[in-house]
Amino acid sequence: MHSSARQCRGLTALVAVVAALLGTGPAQADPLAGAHYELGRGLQLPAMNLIFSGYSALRASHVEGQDARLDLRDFSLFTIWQPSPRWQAFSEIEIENLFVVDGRGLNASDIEIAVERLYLDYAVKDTLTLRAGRYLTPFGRWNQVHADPLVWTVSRPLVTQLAIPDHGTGAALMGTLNLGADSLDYTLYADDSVDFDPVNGDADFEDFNAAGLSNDFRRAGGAQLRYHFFGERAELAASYASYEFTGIAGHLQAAGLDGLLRWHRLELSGEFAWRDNGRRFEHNDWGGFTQAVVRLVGQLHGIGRLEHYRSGILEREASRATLGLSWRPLPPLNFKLEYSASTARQLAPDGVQMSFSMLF
Amino acid sequence: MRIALHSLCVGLLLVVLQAHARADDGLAVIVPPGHVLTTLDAPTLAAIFRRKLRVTADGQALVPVNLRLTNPLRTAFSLTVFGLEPAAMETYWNERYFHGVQPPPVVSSAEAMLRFVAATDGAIGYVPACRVDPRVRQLMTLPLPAGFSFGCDTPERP
Repeated sequence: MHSSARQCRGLTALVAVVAALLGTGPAQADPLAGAHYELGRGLQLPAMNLIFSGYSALRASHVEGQDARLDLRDFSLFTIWQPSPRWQAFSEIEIENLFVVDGRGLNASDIEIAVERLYLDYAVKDTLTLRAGRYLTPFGRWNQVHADPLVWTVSRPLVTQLAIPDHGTGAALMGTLNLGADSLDYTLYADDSVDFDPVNGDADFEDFNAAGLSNDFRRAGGAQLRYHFFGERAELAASYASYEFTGIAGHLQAAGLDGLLRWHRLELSGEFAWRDNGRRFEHNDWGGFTQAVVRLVGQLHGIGRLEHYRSGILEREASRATLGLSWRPLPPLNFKLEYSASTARQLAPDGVQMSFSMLF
Repeated sequence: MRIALHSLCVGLLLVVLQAHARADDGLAVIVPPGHVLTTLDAPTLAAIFRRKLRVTADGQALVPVNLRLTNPLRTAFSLTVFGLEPAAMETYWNERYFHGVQPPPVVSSAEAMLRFVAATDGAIGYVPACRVDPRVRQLMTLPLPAGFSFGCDTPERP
C-alpha cells in the first residue's frame, strides 16, 4: 500500500471517531453559557465541554557562533474537548518562528505550523486509559513538561533531545495505581509514525541542526513507570524504548532513569539515559544532567545544572554547565536568564539566553 | 453578687467549650446525596483532588470543588490532604494543565460549596463539619491542622 494512503487512513479513522462523538452531544441552546477566561487556565466553554488555551515564549539569545537574536519561538494553542466523562480529545497546534529579529533584521517569513499533539483518550476504568494519536514520548520527565513556562531554563538538556525522538504517533495504555499515600503511573506505547505521521522524517532537533538526522521515530514500542512518593513531592521513573529512527537503518534500544525531589525551597532533579546504537555504530549514546533550583526570595529562583552527553551516531560529546535565574511573579508567567558554558560548540554553544513565557 | 459572678463564669465556660467542640468537628468531605461513592479513604481523596482519579469504575465523572486560593478553609484542606499550602500546588497544576487536565473548579464560600455540591452529579467538596446540612451527604471527616478552627458561629470569609 502506498505510504500516503496509509497516512490518510489513520487520520481518517481519528477524524471519524471525533465526528461520531460530536454527533452524540446534546444540542445546547446557548453554546457560550458559562464561558469564562482565566490567565493560565484558558478560555472555558462549559456548555460545549471545550477549553482553548496554550502558551507562548519570547526568547533572546547571544551565543557563540551565531548572531544575537530575538524570536517568538513558540506559540502553542491547545484545544481540549471532553464530551463525556470517559472521552477526551486534545490538540496542540504550534506556530513556530512567528518572527525573528537578528543581524539581518526582522524576518517573519519562516513561519511553520506543526501538530505537536493530537490524541483521543478513552478512560476504560479509573486505572486504565487508552490513547490514540500523536503524543509526547513518555521517556524521561523533561520531554513531557517541556513547555517554556514550565521548565527552569531556556536551554534544554542534551539528553532530553538526543536520546529519543520527542513525539510518537500510535496508541498507548496508561493509568495511575494508588498505593496508599504513594502512586504509580504507568504507560505502554506503540508507535507507527512511518504510517500514521504525514510529515514523518521532517522533525528537527530543538536547539541545534544535526545534518542528515531526523528527530522522528519510524516505529517504536516502549514503557515508563513513574513512582510518586513523599506526598507527591518526590518521584522516580524508569523508561525503556525499542525503536527505529527515520533515516537510519537498524534497531535502537534506549533506557532511562529520572528523579525529582521538592523540599522546602529546594528542587533537585536529574535524568540519565543510555542507548544501544546497534552494530552500525562504533559507540553507543549515553548522558544525563543534574539540576538544583533554590527559591532565593519571593518567586525568584536560582538554577544550576551540569550535564554531559556522548552521541555515538553524531560522533560528538559535550559537557555543559548552566547558571540561571527564573522569576515567576504569577504561576503562569516565567522570566528566565541564564549563561551556559560547554566543551563543544556544535552541540551546546556558550552564551547568554533569556526568555519571557506565559501560559494563557 | 457571688451567684451572678458564678453564673457569668459558667456561661463563659460553656461558650468556650461549645466553640471548642465545634472547632474540633473538623472538615467534612461532602457529596450529593445520590453520589456513587459511599466510602472514601484519604489517599483516594487526594487522588481525586489531584485529578488523577477522574472517573469511577462505572463511568461517573468525579468533580472535585475547591474554595479560593486565599480561603483559610482551602489552606486547612490542602495542608491536611496534601501536606502543602495551596500555592505550592501551582507548579503541579501548571504541569497537569499542559496535559489538558484542569484544576478543580473554585467557589467563593462554604455556602456556595454546599449549593454546588448539592446540584452537581459527581461533585465532591468540603465544608466545616458543623455546616453540613441535608442538601449533601457527609462522606468522611478530616481533622483540622494545628492552628485552624472553623466554628459555625464564625462568619464566612470568602
